[in-house]
Amino acid sequence: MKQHPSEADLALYAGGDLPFWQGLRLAWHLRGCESCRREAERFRAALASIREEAAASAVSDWDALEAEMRANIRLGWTAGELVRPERQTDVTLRHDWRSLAVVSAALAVVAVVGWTLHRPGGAAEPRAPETGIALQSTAEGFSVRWSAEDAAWLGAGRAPVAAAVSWDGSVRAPFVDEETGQVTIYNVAAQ
Amino acid sequence: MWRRSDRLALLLCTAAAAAWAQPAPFRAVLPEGGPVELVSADWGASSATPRGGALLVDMHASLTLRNRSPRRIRAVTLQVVAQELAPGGRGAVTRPALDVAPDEEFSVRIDLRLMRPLAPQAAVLAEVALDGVLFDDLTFFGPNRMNARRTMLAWEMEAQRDRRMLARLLDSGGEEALRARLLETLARSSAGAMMPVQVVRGAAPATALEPGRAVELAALRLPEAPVEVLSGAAQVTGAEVRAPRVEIVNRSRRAVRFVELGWLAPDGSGRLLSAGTLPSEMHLPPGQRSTVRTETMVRFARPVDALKVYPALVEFEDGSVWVPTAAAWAQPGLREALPVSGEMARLAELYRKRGLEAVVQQLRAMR
Repeated sequence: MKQHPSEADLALYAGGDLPFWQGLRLAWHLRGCESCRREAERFRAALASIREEAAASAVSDWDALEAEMRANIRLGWTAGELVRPERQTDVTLRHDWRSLAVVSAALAVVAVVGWTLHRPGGAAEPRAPETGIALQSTAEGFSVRWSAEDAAWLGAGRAPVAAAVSWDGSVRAPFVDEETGQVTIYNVAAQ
Repeated sequence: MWRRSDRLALLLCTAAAAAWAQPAPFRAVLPEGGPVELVSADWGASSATPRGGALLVDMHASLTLRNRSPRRIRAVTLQVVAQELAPGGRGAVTRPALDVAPDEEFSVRIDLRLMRPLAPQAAVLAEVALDGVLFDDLTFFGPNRMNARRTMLAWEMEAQRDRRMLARLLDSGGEEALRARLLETLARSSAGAMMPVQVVRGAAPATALEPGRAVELAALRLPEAPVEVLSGAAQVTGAEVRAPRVEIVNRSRRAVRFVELGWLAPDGSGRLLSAGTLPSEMHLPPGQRSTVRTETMVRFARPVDALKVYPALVEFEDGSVWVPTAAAWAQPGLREALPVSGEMARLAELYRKRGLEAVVQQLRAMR
């Protein structure tokens, strides 16, 4: 390998995610390149600390994990509801056969994960109130809940990079497009 | 005299004509002669679905706009209205971090789900309109119905602060120091920097039978802050916090018209997480005190026994805005506690996707 490997390859190598032959070639390069070796070590250390932190929080945070999974399930149900043909009004602008496949997959995941999660006393997700409005940050974005059945999400399922849930009942959540790097801030006032 | 069949025929013809002339269910309206012009609107897979007595309006759109002003545009906010008054009917979409030259085009993506009453005869289900434009000299244009000015100004000031902070870090500590800070930001983001929170208004707490206890709030003092938190208390019952009262004082020489207090709550391991903000409109002359209060109940994902509060944003009567300065991040203990700004998160994401050189280029270009 005459050229230096890219940062992406070094990061993949540090995480053990590079294909075998590519990994071998990169390891050979690292033997003779001090700067790349340091870079790979840095990635390895960062990954280790992130994993440690994630592991620590995962063990102590089963309730949050369950709430997150339930939120994902609800998202799947909502997606299914929105593209179900007989309930859709005439304002749908574009149909795609892939929607059906996505819905089927979502419903399958819902069935399996929902069954897995069903355990007595395991309802850790904060309940929606009988009256009033509830806002909740979830792994895939912000849900705005009007009642026990109705919820909406901002940012098409992506996760916000930083966010502010206002105690006056509004939500401000910025999202970054992974492809373009563009930022979009959503602001919803629940009043 | 009209016969019944004639009337029916007329009615059918009118209905058919109305259906034929029915405009698109989604509409973008920008002011004529304004600084921003609509070039095209792609409503993509936008749809509407009945849900009980309401209609869920699911908007997935991309608008292409052109800068018609002689100045460079830094940010644009569009308001999306499905209905004016009921819950969940109105939202705003802001594109910050722009640098659009005169006559240049740019796009705004909208992925937002709103609600409106179920009314099949409604011609337009949701309308997109301009709420504000922020220029490079920080002047503003627009109706500002969704407080776009404050949001965009705060983002721009935080962005300038963080880019300056990173540029200084690059100058003093080189690429290694910059990389370390970006990795630290990524690690904080991946570990989750937000406490799951529900804001409940107009509802009795689920644990209404349990007596709450008054908890003193800890004030986080930020250097150079024009507003200082003096003291505060809230009623806490398990994971629910109610009726917070926070006493503040205006330490600046200018009158204050808006304060946003940031809240921090410890997670299971004692790490402080952002737990939302409490905004308050006011008229607070220099040197005067005021009490920020709300009857809202906030429910966290876990029981809380301590809460910290700090001034996150201050808007003065003259329209200028203060956000925590770089000095706060230099203070031990504060950098780990204060939430990562959107711009810092964006730059960290840029590093993750495109490497350090891309971040360095942006820092140099936007100096």
